Amino acid sequence: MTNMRTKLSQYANWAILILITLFFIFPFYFIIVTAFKSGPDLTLNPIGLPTQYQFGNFVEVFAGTKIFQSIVNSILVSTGTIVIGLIIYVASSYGLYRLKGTILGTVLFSIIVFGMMIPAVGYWQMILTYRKYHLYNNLTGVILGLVASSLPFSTLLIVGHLKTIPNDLIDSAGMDGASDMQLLRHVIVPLAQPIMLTITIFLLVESWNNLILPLLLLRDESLYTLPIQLKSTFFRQYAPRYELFFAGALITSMPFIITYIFFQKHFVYGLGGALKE
Amino acid sequence: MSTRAVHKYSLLKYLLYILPAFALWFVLAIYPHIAIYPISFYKWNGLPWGKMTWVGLNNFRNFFFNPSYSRLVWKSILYVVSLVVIQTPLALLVTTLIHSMRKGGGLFSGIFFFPVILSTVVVSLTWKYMYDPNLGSINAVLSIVGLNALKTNWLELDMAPVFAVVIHVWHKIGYPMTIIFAGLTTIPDSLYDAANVDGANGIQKYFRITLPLLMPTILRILLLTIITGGLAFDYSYLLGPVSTNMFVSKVDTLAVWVYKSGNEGNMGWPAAVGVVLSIVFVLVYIIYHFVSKRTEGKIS
Repeated sequence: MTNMRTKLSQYANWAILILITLFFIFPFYFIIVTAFKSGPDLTLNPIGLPTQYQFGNFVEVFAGTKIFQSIVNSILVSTGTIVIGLIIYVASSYGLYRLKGTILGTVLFSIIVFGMMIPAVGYWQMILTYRKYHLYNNLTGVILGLVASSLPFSTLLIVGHLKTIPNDLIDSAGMDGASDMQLLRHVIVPLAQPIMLTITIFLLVESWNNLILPLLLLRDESLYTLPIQLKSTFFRQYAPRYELFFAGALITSMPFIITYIFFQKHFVYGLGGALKE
Repeated sequence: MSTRAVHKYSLLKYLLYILPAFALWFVLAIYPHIAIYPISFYKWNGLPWGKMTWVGLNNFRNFFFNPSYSRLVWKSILYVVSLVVIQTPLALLVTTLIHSMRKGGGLFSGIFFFPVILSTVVVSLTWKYMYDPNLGSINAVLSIVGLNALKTNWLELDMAPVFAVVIHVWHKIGYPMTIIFAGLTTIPDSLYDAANVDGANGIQKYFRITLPLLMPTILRILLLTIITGGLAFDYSYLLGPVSTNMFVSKVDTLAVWVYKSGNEGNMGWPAAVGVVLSIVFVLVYIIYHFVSKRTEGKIS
C-alpha cells in the first residue's frame, strides 16, 4: 500500500517536472529553428519548422560583419581575465589566509564583504575613472574591470578552501625553510587546484557573456566583444535580423554548449556551488 | 621583542600579496560607485570641467515626486517583487521534486541549470523575439489555441517589467536551485523516518519538516534576489530599443535609466539613485541579519 503510494507520487513528480521542463526547453526550439529560416519565412511562419533550410544564414553572419573580429576580441578578453585573475586572486587569498586572526586580516575581510553591498550603478563615474587610467576604449580596461569586479567572490572562495588545508602541512613546510614562493608553488597551488578550476569556469562564463563593462567602455566597433557585436550588428534601428542573430548566437554559444554537456558537474559547482559559501 | 619585529615584518609582507589585488578592486570596482554619493547633492552636467551647483536634496525630491521619474521607482519595485514571487517558489518546487526522485534527477538539474551559461544578450533577444507582437511565437501560439483576446503587445504594457523577470528567472533559476540543493542535504533523514513512523504524508512532511528547516536557505536566497533584482540591468535594457539610448521604454528599471541618463544633462539624478539603492540594500541586509538570527534560534 505504501509502496503503491510512493510509486504513484514518483509518477506525479515526473509529470510535473516534465511539464515545467517543456516550458524551459521551448525557447531553445526557437533559437535553433529560426536560425535556419529565411527573412520572409520568419514573418509568415513564426512557429513551424523552416519551409526551406537556409544554411546561408550561417555564412551571412560572417560575411560583411565584424563577428569574426569579435570572436577574437572575446577570446582575448576571456584569456586575459582568467590568467590575470587567477594570479591575482591566488596571491591575495594567500595573503589573506596568512593574515587570518590578526586585526589587519579582519579589517581587510570586512572591507571585501562591505564592498559587495555597494550597488554598482556609478556608470558615468566608471567611464571617467577608466578614462583617467587610459583604460577606456581598449580591451585591457575590460579585462581589468572584469578581474576587479569578480575579486570579492573569488578571493572569499579561495580563502574558504585554504582554511580546509591542515595547518601542520604549512607549518612543517615553513619549518623546512620553504620560502613563500616555494610554499605557494608546491603546497598551496596544487592543493587549491579544484577551486581554481571552479574559478576558471566562473571567469570564463562571466567574461564571455558580460554586457555592461564592454557596453560602457568600448566605443570602436573593432573592439566589440561578442555580446555587444551580436546586439548591435543585427539590431539596427527598425530592422532586426532575427534569423541572422540566431545563427550567430548558435555558432558563438556552441563551444560552451558542448563543454557544458561534458563538464556539467564542474559548471554546476563552478557557477552555483560557489554561492553556498 | 625580536619575535614581535619579525611578526610585524611578516604582516607587511603578506599585505604586499594583497595590495595589488585590493588596489585594482578598489579603483576600478568600488571607487566609481562611492564617488557618486557626494555628487547626488549637486547639479552637474557630467563633464570633468563642468560646473557643479549645490542643490541640497533637490535631486532626491525631484526623483520621487516628479511622475516621469517616480514611475521608474515603481517599475524597479515591481521587478524585485515579481522576481521574488516567481523565482523563489518555482526554484523550491523544482528542487524538491528533483530531490525526491530516485533517478533522473541529474538530467533535470542539468536542463534547468543550462541557460546560465548563455549570455544575457542571447537569452534576452531570444525572448524579445518571442514577445514580438507580429513575429513573436507567444502571440502565434495564442491564436492557434484560440485565445486571440489575450494577444497583445507584451512589452508595451505597464506591467512589462514582469516579462523581463520571466527571462531573468528562466536564465538564472540554476543559482537558487543549487543553494536549495545544498540546504536540502543538511536535513537529517532521521527526521523523515520519525515522521513516517507517525504516519505523516508527503505534504505534511514538506510543510512541517522541509520548509521550516530550509528557512535559513530561503532567507539567504531572498537577500540575494532582492539585491540582484534591484540592480537588474541586462534583461530590461535588452528588451528596450537596443539600437539607441535615446528612448525610454516601458521595461526600463532604475539601473537602465541610470545608463541612459546621460541624455538628461544632470548627473546628480543617477547619483541619487545610487545613494537610495545603497540605503535600501543596507536596510535589507540589517533586516536579513535579525530575521535570520531569530529563525536560527527557533530551529536549534
